[in-house]
Amino acid sequence: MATETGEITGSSLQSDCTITTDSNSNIIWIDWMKITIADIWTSWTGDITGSEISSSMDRVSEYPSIIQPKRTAEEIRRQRLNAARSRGIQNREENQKIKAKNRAKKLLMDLIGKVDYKKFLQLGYLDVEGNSGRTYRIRARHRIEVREGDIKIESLCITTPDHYLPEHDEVVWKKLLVEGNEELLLKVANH
Amino acid sequence: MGVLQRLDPKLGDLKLIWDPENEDEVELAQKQFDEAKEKGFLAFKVKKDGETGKQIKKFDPDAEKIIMTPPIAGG
Repeated sequence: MATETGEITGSSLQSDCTITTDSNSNIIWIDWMKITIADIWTSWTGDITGSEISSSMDRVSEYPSIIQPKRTAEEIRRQRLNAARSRGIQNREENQKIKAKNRAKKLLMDLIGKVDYKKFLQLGYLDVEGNSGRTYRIRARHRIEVREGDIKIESLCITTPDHYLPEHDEVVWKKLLVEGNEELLLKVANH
Repeated sequence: MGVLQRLDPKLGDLKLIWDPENEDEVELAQKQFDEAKEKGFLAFKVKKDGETGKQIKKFDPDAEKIIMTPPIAGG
């Protein structure tokens, strides 16, 4: 690069600035603000060496989400099929739950009769008498109330070890325990 | 005809109908009954009109309806 130096003057520039021009007469400022090209380069690169720069460039390949090859038609078809299957499984599980609920409702209705079932739906509970003569007020998802007349004596908490039963099945279960094995109920339940 | 109904929170309800005069059907119902009992299920014999249930320990081929419920635990 051919260079020449000189001084420039002007109202907006300091008089002691030196300039350099290249072969195309483009002015290269050397001493402007008293910073040399070496200073600028050092400052720009900081402490990064050439090898570090190149290795960081290689890391682009670590971001496949940015640079991703186009999916083939077969891959797209397979992905859509998997999504549809997953939706199908969810729908099937929902349908099974609805069917289980309906079966549970029917079982309870068969067991206590239509009149009492209607009463149960209105009141939200079922009163069942045990062998001891006590009345057990049964609600789904609630403790069983033990009653003598209108007075609540205590409450019992029981559960199934693994999973919840549908609400109406739970009422059937509690009713059968009260009627069929009151002793076991009182023994196992948390009072 | 007898009905065996199992309230199974894991597998869903199971309903099995047997003819007391058909040995194969009785055998199958008994097998289902015993399997559930082994898992800790409780069995109650009820009448189809919903009369008070009674707990039973052994399969009764002449029962109108048997409902099997999950084991009980303190809540």
